[in-house]
Order: sequence, then structure tokens, then C-alpha cells
Amino acid sequence: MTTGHERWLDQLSDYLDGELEGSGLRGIEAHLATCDECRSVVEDVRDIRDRARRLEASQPSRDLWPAIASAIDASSRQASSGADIIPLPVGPRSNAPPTGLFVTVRELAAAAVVVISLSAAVTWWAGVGIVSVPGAVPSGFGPAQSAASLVADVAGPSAGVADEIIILETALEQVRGRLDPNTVRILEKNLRVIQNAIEESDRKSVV
Amino acid sequence: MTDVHKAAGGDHEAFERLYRSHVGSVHALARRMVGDDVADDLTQEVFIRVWEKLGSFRGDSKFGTWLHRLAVNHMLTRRETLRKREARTVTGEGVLDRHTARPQRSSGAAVDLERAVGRLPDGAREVFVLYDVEGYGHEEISGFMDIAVGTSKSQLHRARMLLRGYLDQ
Repeated sequence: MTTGHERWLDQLSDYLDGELEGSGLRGIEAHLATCDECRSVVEDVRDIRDRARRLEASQPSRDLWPAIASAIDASSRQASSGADIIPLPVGPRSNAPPTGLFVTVRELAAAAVVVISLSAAVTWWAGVGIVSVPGAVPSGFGPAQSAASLVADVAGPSAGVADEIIILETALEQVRGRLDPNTVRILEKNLRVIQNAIEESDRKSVV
Repeated sequence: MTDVHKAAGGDHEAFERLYRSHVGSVHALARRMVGDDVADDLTQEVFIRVWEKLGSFRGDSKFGTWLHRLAVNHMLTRRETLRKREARTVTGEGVLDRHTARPQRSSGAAVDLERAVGRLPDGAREVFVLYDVEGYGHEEISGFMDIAVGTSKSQLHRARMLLRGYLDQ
């Protein structure tokens, strides 16, 4: 297409959309009456515009309502209690029903204490031999791995627990800035211990 | 009492009905404006924001119109943050295909157009979606995007000409 058309091409959208008036409108209409190329462009663009108007709605890949309901529940609770509430997600791309789970910072701290205590207790039990684990992890593995094996043998398959761990990890991310760094490190370490136990449990359940 | 009034009073079931009625249009807007990968998350954010803002709906316009405007504003605000997360190479009109169209029950022509829209550069795509797909005027788009009306018109023209080229391929 020659550059002579560019002057008219630049006005085609305005022409199609009824934005031109007076001499501008008359000029392009006179040009279109004699130029097949520009008329073809106008028809193509008109077709695109008409097709765009007919594009349809789409649906999300999952039902978003459970997560929305959880979030608005949490905001309603926060509004009524004034507490510093943390709404917890359902889980990454999960279709699970909402847990209705939300915690205050104090509750999260309490949960962290439970996690730390459980992990410490299991590690100590395994270390002093209070608990005998059939098919125990061979020697040479550290206490964390021994504790993980022990928890796996006791807890068994653990899909629901794994979801709860994910929720706690996400909550920890949200309050990280408000906790003592040392506390954060301990929490992360102990969540990893339990996560390792879950993975080992799942492996054993498959075998 | 309408579902909007009930939801504004805290009725979650009424709000769910509003969600079910409007989720399709909001999701399509998110997909076309920002991208397929983040459309679900953006849609979720919009409805949470709608819940928070329900008290400000005065009934001057239809609820769907009010919700849609809120959605547009939210998506335009979030798009920069979302784009920084993704590793992309943008080379003007040679932009890589980042928007994977997921047309549902659509004709071949609609699928082609969806894919072509996904290839548009960001500014041109946003104006095209708002003007030709969603039906906003240039004055409104200028307000949404904080650009001059003339810029909105030139971006629209650019989008249409690019689409013509993509669809001819």
C-alpha cells in the first residue's frame, strides 16, 4: 500500500466510529469512493469491531466462591471484633471447600508453639529410644530425619494434614514481618520437619 | 429487597447470587485485559473488593455497570504488579503470544480473534478491549487509564490495524 494512503488510513477508525465531521468527513468519504484498497481496510476493521462486540464471557478454571466467602467472612469478623484477623486461604489452586479457618496473630503464635513442641518432643523421643520404629531410618541420618520417619510411621497417610501445613505456611508469610526473626526461623524449620514427615508417610502409603 | 441491598446488609447468600451472575463477564475482562494466567486471581480480588465497596453503591447506575467499572479500575491498577512477576520479552509488534485464549463454546472466528487480541501490545490491547469489546467511550477510557483522548483513539486504531494483520496470517 502506498504512503499516499497513510493520511486516510490514520482516520479510518475515527471514520468508522462516527468521530469525523464537516470537511474531515467529506474528505475521507470522497477518498473511499475512489480507493478500493482503503475500502477493503474499512470493511476488515468494521468486521473486527463487530466480532469484538460479540465475544463471549468466560468462566474461571475453578469455583472462586469458597475463597471469596472465606475472605468476606474474615473481614466481617475483623470488622465486628476489631481483632487483627488473618484470613487463611483454602490452598493453592484448590477446589476443597472452605475451612472457615482464620486466626488472630495470637492464635498463630499458639499454633507455632504446638508445632515446635511436637517436633521437639518427637525428636527427643527418637533420640532417647523411647519409641521404636519398625524399619527405622538407617543410622547416619540426623535427628530431624529420624523424627520425620517416626512421625510418618505414626501419622500415616496425611492429605488433610498437608493442606493444613500449607495454610500455616501461607499464614506465616503474611505475619512474618510482625514476628521475631528467631521465631520465624524456628517455625520454618519445624514446618519443614513435619512436611518431610508427611512426604515420607505418603511414600510409605504408596508402597 | 434486591440482592444488592441484601448483600450490602451483609447477606452472603445474596452476594453469592450476584457473584454467580457477574463472574463470567468479570473473568472475560480479566483474561483479555491482563492475561489468562492471572484471570482467576484477579476475578477473585475484584469480588472481594466489590464486597468491601458495596456500601458505596448508590444506585445511580445499574449494579453491573458499577461492578464493571470497579473491575476495570482494579485490573488497571494491578496489571503493573502482575506484569513485573512474569518474565516476558516485548518487542513492540513482535510481542510473544502471552495470552492463551480459552474460548468456551466459541466459533472458530471468535477463537482467532481472542488469540489475536492476546498478541496485542499492552496499551493497544487495553484500549481495544475497553472500547470495542466492552463498549466504553474514549472519554471514559481516558479517565480509566489516565491518558489523553487522542492517545486512546490512536491506540485503538493501532490495535485494529494490528489485528487486521494478525487475522490475515
